[in-house]
Amino acid sequence: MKTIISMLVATILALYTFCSVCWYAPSGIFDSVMPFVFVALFAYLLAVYVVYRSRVRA
Amino acid sequence: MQQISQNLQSIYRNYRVIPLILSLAVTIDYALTFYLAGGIEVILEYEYSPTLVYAVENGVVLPYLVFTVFFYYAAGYTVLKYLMDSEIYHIGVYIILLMSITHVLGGLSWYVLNPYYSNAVLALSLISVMVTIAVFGYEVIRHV
Repeated sequence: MKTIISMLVATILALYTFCSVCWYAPSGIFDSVMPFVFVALFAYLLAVYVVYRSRVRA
Repeated sequence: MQQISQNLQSIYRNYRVIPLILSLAVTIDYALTFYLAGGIEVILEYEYSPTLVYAVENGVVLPYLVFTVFFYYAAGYTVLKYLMDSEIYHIGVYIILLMSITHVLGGLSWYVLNPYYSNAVLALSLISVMVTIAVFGYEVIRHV
């Protein structure tokens, strides 16, 4: 339970860092698209991992 | 050399000291941003951080910075203290150090002024978000 709470706080911390880190962003459109690219990539990797684990258990 | 290694080991295991690195990093980030940007108008036009832009627009930069520093320390302390006796303590340290590096590199983006460098900083920030979400999900699945 402690590790779950810890990683939940870490997730909130990481998301806050993402919103609060300062950086020079001259291209507003491109910088708005990049997060979605990463989310899509992450979702794909997660889906692959979940399918792999379900097949291992089967 | 051995003394340096022992010092690093003692710092690594100290969950009170490592969050200080994160608080220091965010202070460096904002100091570099305000120093290198050269003006509030430039920050409002080119700065990506929505929270900083909001703070600048509403004139609450100092309270926002103080809150951020204290929040970072409290959250980092909580993360590491709860992970102290677990097998993923090193992941907590890695996440906090990665966020610290992200903040410092983000502040330096106002010196580099290159969109590719800025997107690399964005990528670094997103990596820390993905790692935390992935480990959180894994821990939930493991305990369910």
